[in-house]
Amino acid sequence: MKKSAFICIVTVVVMLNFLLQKNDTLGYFVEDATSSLVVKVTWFGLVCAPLLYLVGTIDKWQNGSYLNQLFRTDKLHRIVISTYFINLFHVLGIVLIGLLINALLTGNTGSIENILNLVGSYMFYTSVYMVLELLFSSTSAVLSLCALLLIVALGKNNLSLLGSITFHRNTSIYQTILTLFMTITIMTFFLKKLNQKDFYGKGI
Amino acid sequence: MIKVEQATKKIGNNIVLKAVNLDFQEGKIYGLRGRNGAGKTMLLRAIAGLIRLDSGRILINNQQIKKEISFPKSLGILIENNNVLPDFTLKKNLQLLAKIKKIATDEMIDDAILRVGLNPNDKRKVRQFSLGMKQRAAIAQAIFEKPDLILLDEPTNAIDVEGVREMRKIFDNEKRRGACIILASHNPEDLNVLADEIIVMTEGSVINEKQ
Repeated sequence: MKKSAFICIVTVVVMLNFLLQKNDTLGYFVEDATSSLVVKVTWFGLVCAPLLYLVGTIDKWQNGSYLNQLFRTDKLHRIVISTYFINLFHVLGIVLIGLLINALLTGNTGSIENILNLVGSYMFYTSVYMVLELLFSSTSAVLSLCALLLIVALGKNNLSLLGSITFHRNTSIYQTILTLFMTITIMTFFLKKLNQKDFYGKGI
Repeated sequence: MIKVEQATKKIGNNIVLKAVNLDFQEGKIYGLRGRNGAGKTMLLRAIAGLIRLDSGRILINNQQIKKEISFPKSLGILIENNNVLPDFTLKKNLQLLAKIKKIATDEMIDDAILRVGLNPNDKRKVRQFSLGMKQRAAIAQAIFEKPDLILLDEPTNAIDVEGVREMRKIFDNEKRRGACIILASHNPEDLNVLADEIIVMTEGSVINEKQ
């Protein structure tokens, strides 16, 4: 049920976004501030959709079967790195499907810089989501992330200075490197917090 | 082997462990007795490294949990309800866990499954097991790597009378192998039959150590 609902939402939002976009723009990047509300809202849905895959991926560590893996691991960083890359792999997989649909509908495949930019953005947001779910809950994490992206979508200010974080297509290399550095910092913080976390199990 | 020194843990305003001091030695079974909320499970979690103490410390072979080591190096636990992944067979579950430490061979896995009274060649997913079989599967998961320390919270729940006798025999064999077993149970018979020493807890404190 969860999966089918998710796929339906993603499909509708992806189609709408790609059909509404201008010909020269890759759907995943923010349009200028003059774009219509419908375009902004579908952009928000499009960008959020892959991140919804992450819901529950950290909460599950409270479950007995995952705790049994956790305490057997000598080096926690290995489990953190593998969890991060598995999550990122799935998120980028969904983005890739979106890009393929985009290419089929509009013929716009985007440049290598655009794709790297997009990968940088999702690397960052995947780490942000994981930390939020570890510190709070999946609901708080989703709401916080959606609020952040909604601000980016509906904000009247040009946030191009923030580069990949705000899904701007014209992002310079130093901004992408900065995003990567921030992602590593967030995941280091995640590792520290995971080591300090209390595991009370599910339903307790 | 295990030294619990002044272990104290608060959750909100509740003190769930109050300055607990205990020693556990290898080759013995320790029974934890107490009512719901007495702190038995919380003590097991603290020893397993699943929670951090607010004060005090727990040493496993002279290494402090959460300081020098994150978790005990050789541990088998049964604390949660869902101890194995429901969408895999039991053997596949144990093979996946075995890949982490690379201690257990396929023979050890088959042996543990047989010992708990299940079939290593059973193609059913754990999801399709009865409650008692799931509990047996969880016990197999806790013992298959022959750990030095085994923490069991209500291990005989949902297991039939004959099965309880089999499980007691398994725990006794693990003790003879040299493992230290800490067992929390509501069933006084489990503790009376198995435990070398019984520790009584109430409201987070040890009120009667080593009966």
